[in-house]
Amino acid sequence: MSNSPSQRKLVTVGVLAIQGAFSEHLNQVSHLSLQPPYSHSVELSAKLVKRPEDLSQCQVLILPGGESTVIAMGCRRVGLFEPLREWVRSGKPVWGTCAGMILLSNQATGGKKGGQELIGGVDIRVNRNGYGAQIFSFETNLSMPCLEQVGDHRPFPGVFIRAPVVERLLHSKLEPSSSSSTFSATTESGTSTPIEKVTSYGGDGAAEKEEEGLIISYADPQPPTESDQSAKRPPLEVLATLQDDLDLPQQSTPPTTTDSRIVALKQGNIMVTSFHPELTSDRRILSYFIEKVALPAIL
Amino acid sequence: MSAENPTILPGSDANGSISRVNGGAKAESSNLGTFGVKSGLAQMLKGGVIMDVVNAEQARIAEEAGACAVMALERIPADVRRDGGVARMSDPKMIQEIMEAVTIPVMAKVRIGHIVEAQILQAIGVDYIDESEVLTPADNAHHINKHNFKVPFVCGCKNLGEALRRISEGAAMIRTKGEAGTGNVVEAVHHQRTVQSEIKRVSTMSDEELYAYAKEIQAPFHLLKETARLKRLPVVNFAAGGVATPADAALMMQLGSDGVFVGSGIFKGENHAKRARAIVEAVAHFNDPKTLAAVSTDLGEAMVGITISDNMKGGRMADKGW
Repeated sequence: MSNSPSQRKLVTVGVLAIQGAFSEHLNQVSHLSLQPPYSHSVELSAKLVKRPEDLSQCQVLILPGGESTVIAMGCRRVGLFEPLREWVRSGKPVWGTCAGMILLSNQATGGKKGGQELIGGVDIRVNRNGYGAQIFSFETNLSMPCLEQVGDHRPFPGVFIRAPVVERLLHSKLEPSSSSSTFSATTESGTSTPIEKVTSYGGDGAAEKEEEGLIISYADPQPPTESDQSAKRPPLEVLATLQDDLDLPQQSTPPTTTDSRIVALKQGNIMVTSFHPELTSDRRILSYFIEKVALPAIL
Repeated sequence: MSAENPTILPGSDANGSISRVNGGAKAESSNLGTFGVKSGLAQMLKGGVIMDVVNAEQARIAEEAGACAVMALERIPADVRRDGGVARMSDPKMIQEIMEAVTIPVMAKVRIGHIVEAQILQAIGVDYIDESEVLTPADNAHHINKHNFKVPFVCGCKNLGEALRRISEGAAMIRTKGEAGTGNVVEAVHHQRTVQSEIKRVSTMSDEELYAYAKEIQAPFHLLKETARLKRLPVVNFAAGGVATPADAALMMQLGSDGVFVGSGIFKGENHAKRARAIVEAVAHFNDPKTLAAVSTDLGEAMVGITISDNMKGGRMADKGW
């Protein structure tokens, strides 16, 4: 016997709607059926977030795919940027797909001239559009053991569109993973990054630094040092990696390192995926985010 | 807004149909260049403005203004009208300079039916190809078989039948044509209204009626049925052709466009950067008249528009396409 809607707790899921594929996320949220125990206790509603006053009515947030530069500029213009940073700082649940993942990363390379603003929150450096031009966009099935928690872990259809590549993890504290058997609990080994000399930078908020021809954008006024990050920050949990035998053509950042094969991560209440579950009819990742990440954090 | 997300169309992946004519452009790997990633990129562009640019400097202005993509071309449509002659694909050097200058997607135009121009643009790595009526058609009967390419295509339409014919040929994105290079939004409105009203009509039709209507508008039945089910085109649909002001752009959004192409409107008017940014904000907040008023204020002169008629210079570009 279920409670009447009025006895359920209303949880509003906001979808940032500045630019990009926000209506796809809105549709998925609108059609999501919650599983027990939440099916009896929670009523979900979906809301487009275009202004700070929209954000203040939400308890859960999704940052969609789109062009991350456009979304960042649009947020700045309507005064959403600082509220979004405050959202992340205060530990409220948020999921970013593709452009949303870039915005939630603490560092990004491959941005436009002059750098781009990031919201930050996840201790990773991503290479924006790291697989190369659109002709290198691809689809592949992903193994995601965490989906066992929301039904089954059949392969998830991963749709990668001018997707970001994780260049490196910015601290070494990893969740000994229930999720990925291929991942060992260390990132120290000089893995991957072509740019090691990140020493200083200027600018206000959107700090950026040009090093060896690459532009790095930072989310925070202070670049994180690995030691103090590791001490205070929640662990990074890898949710999905590209298969080792996935044969992709020549790319600007071949995903050959352990880090750069990562395509889904969780840190605290922040989840990021470099692919687009909202473009498929498979709602398992949304279910996982809502039922295993977001609702436990706010109820 | 449809009740559910469009799904990947059956039989339309990159390997679905391989013709001998341009088999050289066939996708090498089954998971690259699928219809899903082609139409998916268009979905990522929604709610955005795609701006015509003729050099790297204009491309940077567009990027800083918040364009979600740029269309690289040698002559904007207004100049194609002025100059006359045959308008062709732009020099790859100029397109590549623009690709190097910005990080947002770069599109470029090929002539209708010009398979080789499309192969060239795919080879240099543009993100989207516009098989465009703004250039002089290379084939007066056939459009490019776009399934054979890894790079996605956008095509123009004046009505639902034309849109579905292009999708059937592999277009992963549609734009209503309007009348390019005029600074006059009337044809863009006409085409968008036509497509939307036809979609409304088919959404209540029985299968028998859909069969008959498919014949009437020369559209493939399965795509017409999918459109009726979704109550929208199965791919993203932008507006184009004559958008010159923030109000024009917001108008096209209110009429149901997913986003807007602005061609001659920005760099033929005054205050390029400010006008470009204003149009971006107008598209993002198309239902908010206060924002529209604010961004429309003090932009200087818009491009001088022209009256659309059969004997205007350059003729009706929208009539090209079969």
